[in-house]
Amino acid sequence: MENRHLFAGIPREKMKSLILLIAILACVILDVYVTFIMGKEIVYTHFFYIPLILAGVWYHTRAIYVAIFLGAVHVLTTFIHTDFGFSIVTLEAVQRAFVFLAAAYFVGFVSREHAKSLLQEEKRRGEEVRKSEGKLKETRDYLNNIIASSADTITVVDMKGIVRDWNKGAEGIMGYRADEVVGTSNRKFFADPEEADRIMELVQKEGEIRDYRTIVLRKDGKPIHISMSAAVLKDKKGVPIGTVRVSRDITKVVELEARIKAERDNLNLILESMVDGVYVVSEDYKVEFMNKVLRHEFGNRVGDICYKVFHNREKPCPLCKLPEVTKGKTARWEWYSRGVNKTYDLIETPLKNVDGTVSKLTIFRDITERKKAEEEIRKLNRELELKVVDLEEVTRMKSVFLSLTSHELRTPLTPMQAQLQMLQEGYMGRLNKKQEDSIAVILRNLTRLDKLINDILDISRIEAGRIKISFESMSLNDTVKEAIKMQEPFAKKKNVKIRARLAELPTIIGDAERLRQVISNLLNNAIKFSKKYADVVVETMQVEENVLFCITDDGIGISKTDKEKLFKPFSQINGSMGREHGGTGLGLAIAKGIIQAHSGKIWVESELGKGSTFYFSIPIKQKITEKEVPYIG
Amino acid sequence: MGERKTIMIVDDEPDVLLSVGQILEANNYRTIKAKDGHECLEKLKEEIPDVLLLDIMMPGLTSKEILNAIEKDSRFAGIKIIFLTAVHMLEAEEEDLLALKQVVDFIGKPFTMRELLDAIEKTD
Repeated sequence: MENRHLFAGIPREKMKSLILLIAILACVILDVYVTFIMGKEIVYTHFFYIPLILAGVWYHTRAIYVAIFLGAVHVLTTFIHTDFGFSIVTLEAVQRAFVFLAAAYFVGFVSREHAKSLLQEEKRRGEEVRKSEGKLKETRDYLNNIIASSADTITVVDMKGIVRDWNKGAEGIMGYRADEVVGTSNRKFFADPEEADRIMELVQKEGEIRDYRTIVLRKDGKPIHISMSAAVLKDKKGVPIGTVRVSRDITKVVELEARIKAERDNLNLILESMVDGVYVVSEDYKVEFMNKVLRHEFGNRVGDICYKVFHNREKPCPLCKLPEVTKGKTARWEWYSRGVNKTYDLIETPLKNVDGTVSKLTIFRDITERKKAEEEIRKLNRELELKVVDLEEVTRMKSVFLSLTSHELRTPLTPMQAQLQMLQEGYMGRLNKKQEDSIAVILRNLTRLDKLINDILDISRIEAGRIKISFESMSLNDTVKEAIKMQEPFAKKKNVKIRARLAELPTIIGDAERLRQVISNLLNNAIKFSKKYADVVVETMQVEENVLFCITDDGIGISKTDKEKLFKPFSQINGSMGREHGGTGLGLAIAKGIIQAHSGKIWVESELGKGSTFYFSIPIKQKITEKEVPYIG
Repeated sequence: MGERKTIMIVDDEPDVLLSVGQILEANNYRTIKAKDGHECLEKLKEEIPDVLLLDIMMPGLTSKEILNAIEKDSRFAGIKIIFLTAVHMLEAEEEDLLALKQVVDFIGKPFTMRELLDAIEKTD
């Protein structure tokens, strides 16, 4: 306040009144001296204004008392000087006294008003200061509360590493009370005491540190992972006086991170050890991951652009599945890599990231070997097809050959048989008994040779799938009767009785001549292998949608192993027996071929020594119009 | 019995020609022999037989060609044709040899005398 006063540096209150008094006295003495010693009554009153102004400034309107006093003195001195008579001089003195009064009042008034306004200003300022001080306190309390209630540790450490402040959070996390640690070194808190120096150095160098991870020890010795942020604390002049540190207990975070890392490592290990290649590419074609197999094949190109890495292109591939996969679709396709000369089966699936973007996960299955194998199989198949064609050609040629051969074989038989018949019929003159018998033997064997040729031709046609069948509506029973009639003489000769039990049957579609051939063959076999005076039983019946023919003898029977080869060509069970009983060994194979050409089945039930039963069945409702029917061997 | 029937035998095998001729002549038929298709058609120009005994699978003209020639010429319309062959009947049918109306029978080789004589008798 004093600094702002008009007369700065003026002494205090007592000094003021002393100065004022001296000034007044000086004025009085000067007035008396001028008036009485020098004898001048009128002039030299200007110096009277000095005490007047001083009084006005210092004591405001109370300066009028000084003006009254000095005015009175001046009037009195002039009055005395004029010998106590009123003169113009006295009057002038009175006038001056009033001027003094007015001047004193004016200066005092102005000074008072000025002082008043100064005072008000001061007051206002004072109030403002009080107000802001209150606010400051409030803020400080608030901050103190925050600091106290913070879960994080907030500590202040001076430049020497001595703890200066220690909040509640620090007490909670570290286990030390503030009064235990304030004033002591902070080195003991760190698992590695050197860490205290390193942090101090770092903070000083950088001005602050953020999320600095280290391990501290609780009072009970338990290590805690913390993340520390610290800043230098400076005094008013900007000189560093310490550091304030905020630390958070991140033990759980660190543990979680460790666990996540372990799991990730585990996952990585799985991915790394997979035989299939795995890679992840982001929406903007950046390779985010490649496993070992792919790194081995294509090099570690994580961070590169996929179409450059895998396809050596400058633009995304035209067939790229990335756009559709990132929309949630799954794709599967085969890709041949020219670069590594391998074929891959690619399975591409969307992979949602934590940030909401979608990457593409691709599994590369190397199917190069499989492809090769498939190609090999295709090749073999083609070769096989060619061989089948060759075989078919061979079969056809065989068929043609046999057909020609049998024609050529029959040709010489024809004149032989004709000539012998003429001899037998006596065209060449009468024959004696021996000659007749001789011719009969020759003719019988001619017939047998003819039958053999026919059988060979039949079996070759059956095997070539070219058996000739002429299908017509026919009665199986009629065919059976006809066959029996034809075999009767042979049965009679062997003293075997043929007994027939023929059920009423519907007509079937078949080749009567061919079926008669089959039945004759079966009958002939049955008679051939029967004992003398035995019965051969022939039966027909309808079983469901089939007609069934069976013929039973009580002959030598057939063993199980022989049954299997019974229906194969040239498989007469026993060579010597075949010769003994006569026959070509083709009859049953031909029978099987004929029955199969009728979509039927032929089989045998037999026990060695106890006779056999041969069966065949033919479907009733069957319409076969083809003349050539494939043979199923 | 009226007029003696004339029978033409066509076969490339001389022994067959001889044997069939012997049988037929012994049974009072007149025979004309031809050793192949050309000779057959040649001799047909000279004389038209009642019955033609025709082999299948001969060198020269095929049986089909012989049949076609007979079919074309109206003078031959009265000839009855009997196949006498080692070829299977179904094969003959396959080759469309049995379709012609004049073909009346089919005898497989080797034949019996009875079959041959019955077949010829039936042509009356």
